[in-house]
Amino acid sequence: MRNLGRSRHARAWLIGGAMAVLISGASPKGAQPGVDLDASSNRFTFARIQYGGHFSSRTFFGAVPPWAHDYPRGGRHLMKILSEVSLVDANPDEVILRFDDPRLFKYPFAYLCEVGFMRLSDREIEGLREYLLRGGFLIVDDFREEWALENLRAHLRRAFPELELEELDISHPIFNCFFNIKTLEMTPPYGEGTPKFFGLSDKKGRLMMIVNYNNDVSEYWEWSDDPFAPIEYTNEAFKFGVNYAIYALTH
Amino acid sequence: MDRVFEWLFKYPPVVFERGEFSFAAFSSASARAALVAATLSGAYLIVRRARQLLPRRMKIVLLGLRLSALALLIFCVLQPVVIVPSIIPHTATVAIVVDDSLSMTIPDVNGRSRAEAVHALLASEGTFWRALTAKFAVRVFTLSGGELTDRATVPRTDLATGLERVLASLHGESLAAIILLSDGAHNARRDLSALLPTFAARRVPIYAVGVGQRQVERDVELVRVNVPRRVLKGSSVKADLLLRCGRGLERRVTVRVIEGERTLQVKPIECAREMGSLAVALEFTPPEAGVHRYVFVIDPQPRELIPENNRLEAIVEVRDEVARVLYIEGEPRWEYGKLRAAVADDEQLNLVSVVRTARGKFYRQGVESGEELVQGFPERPEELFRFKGLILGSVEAGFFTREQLEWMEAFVARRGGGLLMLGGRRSFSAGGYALTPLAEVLPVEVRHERSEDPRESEQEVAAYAPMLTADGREHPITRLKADPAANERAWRALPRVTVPEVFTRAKPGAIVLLEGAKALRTGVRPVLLALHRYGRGIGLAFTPSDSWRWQMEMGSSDLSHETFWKQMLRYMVSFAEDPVTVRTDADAYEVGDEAPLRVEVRDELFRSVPNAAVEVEVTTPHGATERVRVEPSLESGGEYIGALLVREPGVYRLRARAQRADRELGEAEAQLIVREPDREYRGAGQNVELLKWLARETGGEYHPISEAEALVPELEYSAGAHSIRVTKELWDMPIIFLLLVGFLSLEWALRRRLGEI
Repeated sequence: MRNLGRSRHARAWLIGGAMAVLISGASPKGAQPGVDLDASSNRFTFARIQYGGHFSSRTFFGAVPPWAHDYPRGGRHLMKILSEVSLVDANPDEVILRFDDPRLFKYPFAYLCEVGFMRLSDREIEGLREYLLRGGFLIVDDFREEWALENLRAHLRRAFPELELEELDISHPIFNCFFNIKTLEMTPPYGEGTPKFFGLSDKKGRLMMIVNYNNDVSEYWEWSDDPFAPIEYTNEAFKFGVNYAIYALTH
Repeated sequence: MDRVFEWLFKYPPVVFERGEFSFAAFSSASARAALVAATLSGAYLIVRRARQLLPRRMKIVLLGLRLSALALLIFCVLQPVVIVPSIIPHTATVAIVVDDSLSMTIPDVNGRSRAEAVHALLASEGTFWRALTAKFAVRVFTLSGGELTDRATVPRTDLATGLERVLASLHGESLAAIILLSDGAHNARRDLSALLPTFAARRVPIYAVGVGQRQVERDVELVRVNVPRRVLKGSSVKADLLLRCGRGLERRVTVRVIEGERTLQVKPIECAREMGSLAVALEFTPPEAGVHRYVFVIDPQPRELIPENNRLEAIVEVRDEVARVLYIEGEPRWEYGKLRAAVADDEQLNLVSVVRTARGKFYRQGVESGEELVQGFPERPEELFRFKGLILGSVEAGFFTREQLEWMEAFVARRGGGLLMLGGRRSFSAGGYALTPLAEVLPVEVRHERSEDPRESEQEVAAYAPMLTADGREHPITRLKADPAANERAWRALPRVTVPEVFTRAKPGAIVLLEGAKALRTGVRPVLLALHRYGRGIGLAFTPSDSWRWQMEMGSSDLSHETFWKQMLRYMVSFAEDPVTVRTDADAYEVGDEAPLRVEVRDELFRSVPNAAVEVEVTTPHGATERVRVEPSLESGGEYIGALLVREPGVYRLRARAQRADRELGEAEAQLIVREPDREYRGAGQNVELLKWLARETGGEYHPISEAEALVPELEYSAGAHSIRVTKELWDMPIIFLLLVGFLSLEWALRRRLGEI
């Protein structure tokens, strides 16, 4: 079985593919034209968080902003699978919003990636705090190495000085609310680090954010329609994604 | 006026009202006619011959005057009389019955108390007394049977017993009539209507003399206080007060709520300029579980006539129990999770929920065991009836079996549970509920086919801003803020919600609490929240599918969403009772009252149990316990009735226990408050209608005390066992002499002016 996570070749191939999608198709510059935000918010919609920062030197490819990685196929495939396996009325059209955009509150399920490169303004920090406290659920994905995690923690300290990220284990309801996920020992699509799952919970114990550290679950979603993508890993990745959605909808 | 009449006509009006008119002379009608014709013809000829030269109009006037004078003379010659029934003097007795209840101490008769006014009327030197005793033997009684004084002290007005006692004590005497001096405040339980035919049959009319103002002006009364008998801990208690504002006092009054030594709330109220009723709502939250005794007081004013009616008490039982609510959701959606989160920290609510995440796959939350609700719904009705509330989300009727739908209907109708349906892709008409038993439970008309109403058939899935209706402004579900204006503002601030199916109206009898502010093209506002009573329980419809926006699109410190859903769930479970209940007809009684007790016994399926062994134990305010016997009711199976005589003020505690064939069916507790008698001061205006009715039914008359003297001639000229028919001559009435002089003088004056004299 091919190990995508440990194959530099595969990694380059995947990233190249993602870039091709971005260049050829969608324009991830904000909420897409033609998407009725009010109407789309009646369905379960994947909201991608856009942010600013310096992307020139440490981004994967300068042409693709880091917040847009795996767009749009990652979210679209997850929504497709969600519609197939569950009764969730999932919207295939993803929306892109910033934390300081009040329209974000219409979408309680959001996705944030490559947080090592993230720079949030005070308004965005305030938006992040409000979003999670009001009941929004955030997936943080597709980042690795300690410096990136520390950047996330620094931002979270600004938003939630009273809260800390905590590592989750398999007993957490998010891992068995739909699929009973057997193990958290996941093979990442690329990178050297060991994947870990962190969570940020409010004072009542509700998980507001799940952090896929040293991992890129969305990568599996994105390439799930590729015949070369290993189906076992893709399946596991979808289980995580579906459980995240069901947990967000039920808690 | 009557005196003038009597001076002119020689007799009081009643003689002419009750008498028969006749002539004593020329008894033959033809003889009378001949006399009249001859006299008038002669008069005409005289006038005609004498005044040939006068103008025609003047001749008619003079003729008319002369004929009138002649007619009066003929009238006198015929000897007119009136034959009228009249009491034989001093052969009949008149009983005067004086109301000596506490309400007669109210000083609203020209500065005197009602009792003092009666005392003055009956003074031996007064005209009323002298006129009455000149004709009748007079006996004086009190309603209570006690001594007559000018100080009334009896805490209850029992007209029936008092009048019956008088009738019995004068048995064998020639009783001509009863004069009742009262304010008509009959407040005993005895029914007067059963007694009155006895008076009519014995031809003893009751002449009612009303005492006191019809509506006491200088008084503010706390008429009624309505509070829920029991609430869940943490729920606010809304007390609805009804005040009656008088006139001639300060318009601004202060209402207080007191518990023990502590004043919980002080609310100034502005009375209207005119006399009338005023509804006032007070709200407070009991901090602890248990039985709370609240005193509601209107601060008395210096010139107020009846400060005794400014106070009422009420009891609220605050239960520290957890009400279980079952929520069935047909698809994972934001409404589900956000509703769960909204009530999660309410310790008195246990929301047990099942969401169908995929076909045949359920995610359960809040269940007590791994087996509970494993099939997505209770497998037996007993399991369902353990809940007090049921929420159906976006789940189609086909998800349930026919039996389960029937259980749900019985859950509301019999068990008294609350059923709430939420808007969604699979609820209401879209869920196929039209032909199910739940169609009756819901407060909106679920459609089987496309509505013929174009306003509804458009099916315009649109967003609507929630707007309170008049009922919604007062309802505990929709009270986000205690202050009405702040509550209105809070609702206006909430974001719009989506309504998948538009209902333009609720069922007849249902209450709409929220409606959509954005009118459709047709101008109709859609129903957002409606409810109605169904059987013992309640059916509710919340048509939006995304109230979660009230959470996500409002600031994190805004608690509108949480408050709304907590209040919704607390309200919908408030109608569900235990299988065994004990209650009294009213919340409060007075010392000396007999409180009817009702124990209702039902089994675990809330079916009536008619053959149970039921015991009721009562603990008095002083801690003594006694058993009260209850018997099966003949009217309703499963109901057991008895009565409790309350003898001391304070809180009585009732405890009922039901068994059947050595099997415990359940226990129930209730409280009732007993106060010192003050009924006499409530609604203390003169009950004119009752007094008139008493008089009318027995052949008597009603008079206010200021016209009491008119009673004497009415009594004197009344037909009865002790009266004879007397003939009164009328020819010498002063009015005849005055008219005769007048006619002749006028004729003389005219003739003189025309130069004939």
